[in-house]
Amino acid sequence: MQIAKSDIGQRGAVLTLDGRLNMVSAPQLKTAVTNAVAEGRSQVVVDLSAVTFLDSSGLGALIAGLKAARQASGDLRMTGANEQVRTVLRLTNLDRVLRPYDTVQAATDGW
Amino acid sequence: MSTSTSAGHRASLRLLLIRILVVLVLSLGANYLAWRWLVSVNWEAWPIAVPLILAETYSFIDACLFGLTMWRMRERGPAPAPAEDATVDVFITTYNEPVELVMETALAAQRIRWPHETWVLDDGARPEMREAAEAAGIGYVTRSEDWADKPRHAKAGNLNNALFATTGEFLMILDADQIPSPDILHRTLGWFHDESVALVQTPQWFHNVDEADVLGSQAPLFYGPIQQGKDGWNAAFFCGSNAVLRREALMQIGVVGYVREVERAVRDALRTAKSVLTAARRTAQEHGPAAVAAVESLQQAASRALADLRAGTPVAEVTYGFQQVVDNASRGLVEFDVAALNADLAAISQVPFEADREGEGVVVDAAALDRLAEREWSPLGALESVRALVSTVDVLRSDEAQPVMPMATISVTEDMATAMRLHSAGWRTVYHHEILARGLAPEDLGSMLHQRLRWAQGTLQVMLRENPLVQKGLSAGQRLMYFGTMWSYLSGFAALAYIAAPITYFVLGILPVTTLGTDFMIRLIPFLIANQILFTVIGWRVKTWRGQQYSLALFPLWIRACATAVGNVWFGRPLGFVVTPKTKQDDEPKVPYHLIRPQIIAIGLLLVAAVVGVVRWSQGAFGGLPTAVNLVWIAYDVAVLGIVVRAARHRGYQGAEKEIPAAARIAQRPERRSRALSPVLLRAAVAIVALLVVAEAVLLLVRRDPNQTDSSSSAGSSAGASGDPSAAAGADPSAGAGGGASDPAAARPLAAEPPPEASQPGTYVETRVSAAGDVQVEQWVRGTRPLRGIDLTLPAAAPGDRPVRATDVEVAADRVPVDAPGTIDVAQARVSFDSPADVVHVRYTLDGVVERSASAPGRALVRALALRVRPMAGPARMRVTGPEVLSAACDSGPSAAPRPCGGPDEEGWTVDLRGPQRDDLVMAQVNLS
Repeated sequence: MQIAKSDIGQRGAVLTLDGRLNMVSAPQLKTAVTNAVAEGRSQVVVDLSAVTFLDSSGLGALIAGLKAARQASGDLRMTGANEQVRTVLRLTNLDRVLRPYDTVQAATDGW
Repeated sequence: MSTSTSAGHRASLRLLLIRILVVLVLSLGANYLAWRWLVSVNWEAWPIAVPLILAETYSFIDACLFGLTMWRMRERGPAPAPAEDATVDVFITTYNEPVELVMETALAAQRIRWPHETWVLDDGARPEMREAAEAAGIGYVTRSEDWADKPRHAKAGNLNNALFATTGEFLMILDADQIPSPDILHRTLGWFHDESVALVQTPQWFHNVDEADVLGSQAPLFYGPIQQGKDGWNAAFFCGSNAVLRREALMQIGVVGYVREVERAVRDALRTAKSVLTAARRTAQEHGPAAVAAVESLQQAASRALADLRAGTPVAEVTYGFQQVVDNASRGLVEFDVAALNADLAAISQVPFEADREGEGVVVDAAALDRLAEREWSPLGALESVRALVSTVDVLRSDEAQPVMPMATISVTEDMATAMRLHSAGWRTVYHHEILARGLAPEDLGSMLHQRLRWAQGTLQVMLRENPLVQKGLSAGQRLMYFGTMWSYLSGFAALAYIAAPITYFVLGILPVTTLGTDFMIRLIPFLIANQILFTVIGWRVKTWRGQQYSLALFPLWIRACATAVGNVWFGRPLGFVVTPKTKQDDEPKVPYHLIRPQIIAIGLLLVAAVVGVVRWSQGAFGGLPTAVNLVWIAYDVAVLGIVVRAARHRGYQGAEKEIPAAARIAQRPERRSRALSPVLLRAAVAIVALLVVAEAVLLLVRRDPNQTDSSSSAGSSAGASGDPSAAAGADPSAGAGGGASDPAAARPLAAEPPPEASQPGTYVETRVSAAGDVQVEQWVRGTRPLRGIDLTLPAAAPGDRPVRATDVEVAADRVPVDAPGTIDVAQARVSFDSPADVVHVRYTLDGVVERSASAPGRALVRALALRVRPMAGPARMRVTGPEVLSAACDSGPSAAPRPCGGPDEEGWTVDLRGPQRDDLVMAQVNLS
C-alpha cells in the first residue's frame, strides 16, 4: 500500500491511500497518522478512494488514528469509501462512529 | 479410503447408541424426578427436603445439558492440507514463569514446520527473558507505553497488545509450558479453508501427570466427548492455549466491541451532563447573564447531541461538535472568579473514572456519575466537569490502553468470553481432537485450587456479564452449550445438600424422602445404571472418575467462585485473582490441610454420622433399609471427598525425569510415599455397609414371627371385635384373636410373648392403619417396678369430625387378660391388677382419629396413634404401619408448632420419644389408596 500526504490549512493533512489496507499495511497507516499529528497536523483526512480492499485490521488502524488525532485536539475523518469498504463499516457497526464522507471538501467542513 | 469409511461407519453407530442411551437416561431421570417432586418429598422436613430435591433437580438439568452436548458429538478426521500462503504468528504468553521453561516452549515453537514467526509475549517485561528470546532469534513483545496506568487485563491484555505489534493472518496461542509438536500447524491450519472458521482448538494434555492423576489435571472427558459434542453444535470452546485463531475474526469482534463501548459510554456521559448542567444553571444566576447564557448553550448542545445520537448521527461527529460548544462557552467565561474555578478544577481531577483491573474496564462508575451530578458546580466548573466527562468517555476509550480489544476483557477467562463473541458474530469454531502440544499441570494442591478457582470465576463472570441465554446472534444450541458449562459450576450448592442429607438422617432421624423402599429403588436404580452405561460408552477408554470426584469434592471452591464472581460483577469487588503457577510452590512446608478444611470437616461429620447411624440402627432406632441406603450414600460422599485429602498429600510428579522439561524439574524432598487415605476410607465404608446389610438380613430372619408380618389389610378391627377379652386368653397363638391364619394383620394374642421392644422399661406402641381407615393399636408398657395398675386417657387430639374414642379395649397383665372397660371416651379409665405385673399389654381400636384429605384422594391424617398410659417409665417408641406411611409429626402442645419426627422403617414409620416429649401427641400422614 502507498500513502501520500498533502497538507491543508494550518492544522490539516490529507493521507491518500492506494492499495489494500489490511493486516499487513495497517501499521503503515497508523504510523502515517502519528507522524502527521506529531507535525502539528492533527486534523487528518484519510482518503480511501484508491483502496481496493479493507479488513478489520485496517479499521483498527483508522480507530487508532482517530484516537491519536483527538488526543491532540484534532480529528480524523475518512472519504472515498467504495462499496467493499462501506460493507465492512456496516458489518462492524463502525459507521455508527465514523461517517464515510463523499469528498475531502465535505470531510473538512466545519474544521 | 475404506478404513476411513468404516471408521465413519463406526462413529455413526456409536453416535446412534449414545443417542439411544441419552433418551433412556433422561426418561428414567425424568421419571425419578417427577416421582420425587410429586410424591416423595417429605415436606415436613423441608429444611433438608427442599435443598435435596433442588439439588436433585439441578443434577437432572445438568444431565439434560450433558445429554444435549453428546447428541451431536462430532468426530472430525484429519484436516485438509493448509492453504500455501497462510501466514502465522505463534504467541507464547508468559508472566512470571522461569525463563528456561518459556525458552523450551519457544524453541519448540520455532521448530514448528509451517512457516511462521515466533513471539514471546512477556507480561513480566524481564530483561533476561528478552535477552534469551533475542539470542535465539525469537520475537519479544512487552506492553507498549499505552498500557501505563491502564487496566492490564492479564493474559487478554497481553494478547491484545501483541495483536497490534504483529501482522500474521493466523495466530497460534501457547501457554508458556505448552510444548508444541512441529506438525501442529500442518495438522490444524487446513480447517481455515472454511472462510467462516475463526478458531481451531486442540486438546491440552499434561506430561507431568502420572496414571493416578491425583490432582485431576487431565480433562479427557472435556478434551474429547464434551468438546466434540460442542463442536457438533458449532460451539467448540476456546481454551486459551493450543489454539489457532483467524486474526480477521478477532479484529472484527474487537471493532464491534469498540463501537458498542463507545456508544454506551457517550450516551451515559451525555445523560449525566444534562443533570450536571441543570444544577449549574441555578448557580449561574448568581454570576450574571453571561454565565446563564453559557450554561444554557451547553444544555441545548447536550440535548441536541443526545437527539443526534438517537437519530443515528455517527458518534465521532456528535462528540466533536459537543466539544466545540464546550470550548466556545468556556472561552466566554474567562473573567470568572479564579478561586471558585480552582476549587472546581481540583474536584474535577478526582472524578472517579474507575477502571476495574480484573474485568471489564468499567467506563464510568455509576455511583461516581451520580456524585458528579449532585455536586454544586459554578458555571465554569460545570462546563469543565462536562468537558472532562465527555472527553473521558469520548470515542477514544481513554480508560483503556487500546480502543480496540479483540480478546474479551470482561472475564479473567478471556478465552470463553472471546469465543462467545465470535459465535455471536457468526463465526465458526473447530475442535481438532489430536494432542499436538504437551504442557505442565500444577503439581500441588494450592496451585491446582487457584487454577480451578480462576476458571470457575471467569466462567461465572461471563455468565453474569454476557449471559449466553440472551446474547444476540447465538443459536439455541450454542446458548445451551455455553450455559451448560456455566451451570456445571453451580454444583457446589448441590454438593452441600448431598452431604447434609445422610448426616441429617443419622443424627436427627429426619429423612428428606418419604420412603426409601421399593418405590424409591425401582425409580433410582435403573436411572443410575443407565447413566453409568452412558458414561461407559461416551468415555470409552477415558477416565471419568476423577472428574466426577472433583466436580463435587471442590464444592467450597465452586461456592467461593460463585460468591466472588457475583461480588465482582454486581458489586465491583476484586476477585482475588492469582496467576496459575506452572511450577510447584515449594514454600508450602507441610501437607496443606488448611486448604481443604471444609472437605475435612464434611468427611468428619459424615463418618461420625455413619457411626451414630450404625449405633442407633443396632439399638433398633432405624430400619435396615434406610440405614443401608444412607451408609452407601455416605460411602460415596467420602469416596468423592477423599480425593482432596490425597491431593493435599500429593508430592508432585514422580515419573520419569527425561519426560520433564528442565525448568519443571524441581528438587524433590525424599518423601515417604503417603498411603492414599480415601481408598482406605472407601473400603472401610463399603465393608461397614456390607456387614450391616448382612446383619440386617439375619436379624430379619431371626425376628420373623408369623404374626409379625405386617401388611396393609384391614383385619385389625375385626380382630378386636371378638370382644370378650377372655376369649383370647390362653388361646392358641396361631388362632389369633379372631382373624385366624388367613389374616396376617391380625393382632398378636394378648397372651403372646411381648415383642423385644417391650423388654426394657418404657412404652411400645404398634399402630396399624388399614386401607379402610381403621386404626388398631397394640401397646406394651413396662415399668421400672412391677405395675399394680394403669391409667388410660384419650390423646389430646384436636377436635375433628368425630369424637376420638377407644373401643374394644383389652388388657393383659403379664400375659394374663384382665377386666377392662370395653370403651374409653371421656373419662380416664383405671385398670387394676390382682398381682403386680412386669409388662402390660393393651389392645384397642382408635375411633375418630382418621381425617381424610379433601384435596388429595387417599391421603389421610391420623390425628393420634395411641392412648396415653400412666405410669410411664423409660422411653416411648411408636411404630405406625399401613398401606403407605408418608411421615409423622410430634406436637408438644399449643405453645409449639408440630414438628416432623421419627423416620421411616421397612413397613412404616418409627418415632422415639424421651423425657417430656413422651407426652407429645404423635400424628401420622398416610396414603390409604
